[in-house]
Amino acid sequence: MEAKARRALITFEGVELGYGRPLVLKDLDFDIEEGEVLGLVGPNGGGKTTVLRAVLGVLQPLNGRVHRHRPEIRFGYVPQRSRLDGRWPLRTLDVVLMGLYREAGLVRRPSRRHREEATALLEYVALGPEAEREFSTLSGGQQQRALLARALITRPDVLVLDEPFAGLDVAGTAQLLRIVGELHRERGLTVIMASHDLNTVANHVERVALVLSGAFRVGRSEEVLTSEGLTGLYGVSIDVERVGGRVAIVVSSGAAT
Amino acid sequence: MIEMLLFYQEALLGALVLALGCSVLGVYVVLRRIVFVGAALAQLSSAGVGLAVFVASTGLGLGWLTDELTISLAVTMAGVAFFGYQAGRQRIPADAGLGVAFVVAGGASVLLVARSATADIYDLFFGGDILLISIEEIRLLILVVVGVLVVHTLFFKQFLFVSYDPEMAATLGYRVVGWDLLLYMTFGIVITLAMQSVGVLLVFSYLVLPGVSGLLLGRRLRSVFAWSVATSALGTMLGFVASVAFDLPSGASIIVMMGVLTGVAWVVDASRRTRAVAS
Repeated sequence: MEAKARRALITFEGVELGYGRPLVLKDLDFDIEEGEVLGLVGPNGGGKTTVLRAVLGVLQPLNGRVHRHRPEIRFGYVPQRSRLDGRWPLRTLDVVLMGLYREAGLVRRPSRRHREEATALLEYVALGPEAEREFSTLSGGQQQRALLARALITRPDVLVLDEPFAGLDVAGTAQLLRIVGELHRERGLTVIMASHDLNTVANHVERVALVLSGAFRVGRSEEVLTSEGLTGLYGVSIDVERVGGRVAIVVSSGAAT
Repeated sequence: MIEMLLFYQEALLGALVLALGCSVLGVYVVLRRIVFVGAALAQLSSAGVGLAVFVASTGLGLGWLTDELTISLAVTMAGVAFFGYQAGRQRIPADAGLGVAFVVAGGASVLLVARSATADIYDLFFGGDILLISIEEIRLLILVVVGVLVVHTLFFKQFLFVSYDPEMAATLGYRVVGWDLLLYMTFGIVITLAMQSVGVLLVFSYLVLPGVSGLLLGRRLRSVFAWSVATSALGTMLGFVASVAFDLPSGASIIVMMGVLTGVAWVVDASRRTRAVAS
């Protein structure tokens, strides 16, 4: 995706993040720019979700500050699917409607207009016929799109996706990427996605933040995703090839030399 | 037998009111996987009763401030505040913390009552006896259960959201800890009152068995609640009838009947799943 000159939307200034000691991440100084697609990549447990939580404002920094340049930034959040308990007998429509609970008011249930809005968004993500189906019986890709619909129903300025491709097959990943790309292009949404899947992220974001065991490096995709940089960070030999404008990241067997 | 049932109609009414309140809360207890919160709060409540009995036996009672209900409610609410605030924030697993509260409160209850009370109180305290419930207690139960159900009806979507996806709820500006505390407070209030009337074991059963049945039989959340209430009501009535007909302890009869109904729900769910796989 092509980068343009943009204004900072959120700025991390000397931020330290964690849940007590030891810190998960420190010395975070970077901007999230309005209208960009930023990928947070790194292994599981590296701190990607922690950064996302700070972006969303549900985790306060232990030090430093996360400055929002606009007073009211609306976030649409797509959580990791695995965090949702499949035992709750909820319809797909019910799950999407949760995004409108606050708008519905303190004690009122979502109205017919809310349900129509939720249904329209389910149709947008190609899940119209599944509205009445139990959410937990949907495939991984369908669940992810339903959660995307729930995020969109909040009319967000920033779309935040946590491991959106985990457990998805190639078709599911492609479908999700197509919708997210379309939202970015047509609605100008700022997109932040955290993923351990370097290849998928590398080819669909403008900037990348590498999050790995306390280390944090952010920059344009081609600056950050280099063989030397990734090999140094992961401690295994990693080749980065660029073929026909696409990036292929290949992990070699054996340790880095 | 009809005459006997009519003789105990107030006790049956009390049990049904409790069944209604606990079976609604029980759906959250089961779905949030906090069944031991119910057990621990019931045990804390009993420790509160034990403390009140002990204080009374020392002659240091201060009227309503030290009566069983007040102290029991205070101790339970302290537990509510602790469990509600600490959920997911502890270094030890949540179930271990609940286990600690359960056994320590249970041990303290035994010691406090053993040092200060008669065997009658001891039996009532641990076994509970719904047959001895007074009309004043029933009135209080109805008042509290209706109040709790109103809170649950008004704030259904908040309780659902913070239970199902607290992270998203927080992102949308919900104070998750606050809503969790309110939900736990409704548990604490109902459990405290129920504990005084029916004992720890029956309270725990009311919080778990109907919720499990509801989840096995219901396909939507609304029907899960409906089946949960139906199981607790039917189990209570059948248990009561069995208790009167065969001169059995009422609490244990109700528990066993609800257990049987839960077993039936299990079989229904299993056969439904088998049919679904076959088709």
